[in-house]
Amino acid sequence: MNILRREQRAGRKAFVIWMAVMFFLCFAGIVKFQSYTASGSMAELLASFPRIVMAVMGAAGLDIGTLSGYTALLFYYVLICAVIYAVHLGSSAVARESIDKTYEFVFTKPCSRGRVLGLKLASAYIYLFLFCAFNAVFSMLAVAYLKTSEDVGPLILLFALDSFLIGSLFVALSALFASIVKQPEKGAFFGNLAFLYAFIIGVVYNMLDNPGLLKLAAPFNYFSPQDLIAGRFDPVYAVITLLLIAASLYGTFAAFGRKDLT
Amino acid sequence: MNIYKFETKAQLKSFLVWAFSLLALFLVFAFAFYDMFMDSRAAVLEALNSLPPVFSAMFGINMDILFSYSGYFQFTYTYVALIGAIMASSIALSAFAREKRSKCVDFLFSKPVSREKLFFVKLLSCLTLIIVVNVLFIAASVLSFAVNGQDPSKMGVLILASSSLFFMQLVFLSISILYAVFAPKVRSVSGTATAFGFAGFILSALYSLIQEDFLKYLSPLGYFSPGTVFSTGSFETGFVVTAAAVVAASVALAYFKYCKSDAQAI
Repeated sequence: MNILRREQRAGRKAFVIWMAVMFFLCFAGIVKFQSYTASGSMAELLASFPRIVMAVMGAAGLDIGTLSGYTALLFYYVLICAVIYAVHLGSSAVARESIDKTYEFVFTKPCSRGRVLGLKLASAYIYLFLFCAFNAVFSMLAVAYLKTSEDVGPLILLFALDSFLIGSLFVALSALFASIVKQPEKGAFFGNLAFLYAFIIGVVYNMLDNPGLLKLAAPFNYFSPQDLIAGRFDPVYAVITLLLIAASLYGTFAAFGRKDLT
Repeated sequence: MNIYKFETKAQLKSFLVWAFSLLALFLVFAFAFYDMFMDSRAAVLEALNSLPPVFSAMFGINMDILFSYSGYFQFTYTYVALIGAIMASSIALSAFAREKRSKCVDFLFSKPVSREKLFFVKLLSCLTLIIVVNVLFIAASVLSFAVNGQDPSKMGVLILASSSLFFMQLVFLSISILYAVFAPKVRSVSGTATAFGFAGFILSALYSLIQEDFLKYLSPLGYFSPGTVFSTGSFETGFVVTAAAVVAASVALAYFKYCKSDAQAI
């Protein structure tokens, strides 16, 4: 329990800074929303375009004339932030003590490695959960401030769930990378590289009409904004995400138990 | 010279990863997707024609601008610039925070080399890497320009447009040098660099969403835009001045701090 408390304290400053940034992003973004009059036909028109044109025009099949489309676009950026934060959380859960050269202190305590790692990862997940929850709250406040008739509360919750799931995946992945590599700093490097590639593959995915299996490599697109707006949360990809998280965490514990701490 | 060699060599591996990602992205977009994009013009026209003309005028889609090489180049550049920004930041952070991170500042500073010289050699090493990647990028854009059958007399404009990447990277380089010198601790170079790059990306996306003028000056990714060069023939003066001021101020501040700061011993 003390370890968990210490970890929470170590991550507090970064968390507060992130929250300030997200507060600005949510408010500055949502408050500026203006609905277009012709939004109904806009959505129809956009849907009839080839996907590559949509991607180049900068709105992947979203009608930003409606509050739900606009929120979806904004939450795409929130998702990016959540994943950057998640990579930081995951890799520092494994490698922070090595980088700060304090691992000798914590790993000689009468506590198994697995337990220490488990608590550190638990702390990472707590922060990620708070991150997504706070974002949902900020967006709801911003929407309430707008006083529109459109109710996007459930949509915001779905997006929060989406960013928590995808964020969790990246916590687990970057923890895995950090526990496999020899140099502590390289783990964060691979985590960030994985994030960047997932992002780019997501862009390419949005350009193709028949992406097929490419979707598996594009976690940013596991839950499409169109589905979420329609209130659907794809169960197949939810299961795939959970399986990937479980596999990565299993790998993390296995690799970390045998790791040379240097 | 030894310091220069050491710095450049230490960056080589991650430099190759970044340069490869940047160029591969550009080449895939400029060759594989360009034709696909141009071919979709007919489908868009059809969709627009199925609507009453009042509507299509209201949506304000200018087909000739949307389906032009310059429009597509600007789209591709958004992502190239993102990778470029992360790359420039990570080069600067890793060069200027290396001793801080490996806790050997005292080792380096006790060598018979002035700190002024150290600073400039590190800067030179960073600039070398950035120049190399930009030469490759400009070559790649010239190639795609020629292969996609564009007017050869416009080549000068294209070269200026693709040099946006270089100037943008200079801005990110100098901001990151400032950060690396002033931050008490740099735990993860790649994490900080990714955060810098995506901060720029999200700020310029936010600008295009809410159109507040102050945001424009806060988003260095958009200071130099190939789209502006294609349409007006030069960069926007206001941004060039801003960028120059940011670069000069960051490098100068970092220089003074680097030369005056206390060297930590363990």
